[in-house]
Amino acid sequence: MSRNEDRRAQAGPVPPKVSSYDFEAFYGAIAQHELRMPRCLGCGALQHPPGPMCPECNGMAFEQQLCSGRARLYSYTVIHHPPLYGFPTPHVVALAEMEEGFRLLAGLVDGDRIEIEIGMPLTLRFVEQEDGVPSYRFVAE
Amino acid sequence: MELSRKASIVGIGQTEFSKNSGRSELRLCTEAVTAALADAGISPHDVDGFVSFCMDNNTEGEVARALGMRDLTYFGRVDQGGGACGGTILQAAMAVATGAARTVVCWRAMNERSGARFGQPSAQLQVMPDPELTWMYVSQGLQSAASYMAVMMRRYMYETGATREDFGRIALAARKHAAINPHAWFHGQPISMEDYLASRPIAEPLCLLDCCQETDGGVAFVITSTQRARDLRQKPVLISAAAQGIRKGTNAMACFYRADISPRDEVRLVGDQLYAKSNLTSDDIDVAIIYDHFGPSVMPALEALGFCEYGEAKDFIRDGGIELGGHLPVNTHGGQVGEGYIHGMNGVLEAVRQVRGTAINQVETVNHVMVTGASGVPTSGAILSAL
Repeated sequence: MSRNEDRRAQAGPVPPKVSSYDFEAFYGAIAQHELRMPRCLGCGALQHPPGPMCPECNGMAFEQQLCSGRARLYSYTVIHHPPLYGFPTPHVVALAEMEEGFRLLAGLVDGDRIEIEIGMPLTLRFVEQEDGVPSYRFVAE
Repeated sequence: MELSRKASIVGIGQTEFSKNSGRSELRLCTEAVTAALADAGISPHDVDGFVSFCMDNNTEGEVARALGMRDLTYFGRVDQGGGACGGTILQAAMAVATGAARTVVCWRAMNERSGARFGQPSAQLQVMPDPELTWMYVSQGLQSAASYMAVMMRRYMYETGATREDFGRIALAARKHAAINPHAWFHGQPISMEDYLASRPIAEPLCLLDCCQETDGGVAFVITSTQRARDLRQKPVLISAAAQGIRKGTNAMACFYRADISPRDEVRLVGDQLYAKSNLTSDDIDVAIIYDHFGPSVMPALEALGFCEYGEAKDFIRDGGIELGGHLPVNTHGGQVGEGYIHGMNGVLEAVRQVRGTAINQVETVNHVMVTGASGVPTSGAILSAL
């Protein structure tokens, strides 16, 4: 067995969540089964991914806007290799344009069993990872 | 301070490119650096500057000790993996032009195949760039460079009408050039469109034959002033321009949130600077070495560098357009898909050989060669020219 296969065998099933002050509100909402995104109180721009500062006006005060979870597929990939722990092979990851105008990337449930077309409607569903960490996936409407 | 043509590449060196070098990364580095210095006719004692990659595991102190170097007055590094290759040229040229150092060696040496492989799922990598963002993608099952690029290139196909056959033309050109290059991993192994279309999917729309090699090897080159270069052993290869670029929304392999997610914006920023600084245009470029972490990404890069309009790369590459004898020979060494993957530094060597007139797939008259770093990440590039 090579050094790399060794490390692969030893790798934990799900890597521990990496978050920071800037992502707390996002993941806090996900745990409540809500999609919330920071909206700048200065200029009104909606921000994703979360960050410490509004890139449009450099404001640092936000409200966490509740979002609908409705989206349209913007791009995607069907992943065949390497196989990933906790995901089927093949599995589909979708980049979607959310109704509110920002893009969000998430796994597409049963993506290998449906016909995929850019522009198709998707909705966000809340799920739990194998280690119990709250997460989210897209499903086709 | 105007940097154009102040510094030149005067020596190049490399190890063999393999899947298992059987020796340390420090040894690969010292072999490549020694070869580059011998090529230049410069003693290690005369080297006073280093530039390498943040990702390179060899430390300046160890390399200096191994080579018996004396006084080093400048040592820098460039981040962003394959985005760094042109950045090393920029740093070295700046060091030479400002007097921070007189003779700078740039290197990249790694056991990328037999050691830590970059293509592994990110969940199993020991270091994650932008850790919060990377975990956000890992937790959704987006974990390899190929899958990141696949999301960007799927949208490119949708917007431009590019097909898998078009992607195949990039792979065929690279493998055709590699087949003739004895240093290439795929020496003597050209492929057909049938081979390409039958290649197993990795992250659709990308297949195995779109992916660069995983390579053990070392590459180095030597930069000094153009004035001094005239008296050295080799025909000087002038650095007409070198530049780096991050554009709004450029993020490591995940430019998902900008208007155009194809890996194009940062290459455009680099190309625009290169032309402006060198007073050249895309028409002046005789050969292009375009970073191919994934072959299909060459298409948006050709557009970003002004060789064709947005969305027209598929026409530009038809009928052997980027093959030897075509209107713009691209990756004449076989690229990283065909020769080897040393984070684009082997491409810099090919650019130098083309200007010198010593490439295995030599283009007839070469005055200017474009060489670029990885697209879809903070990147860089250079134009190298004959005296």
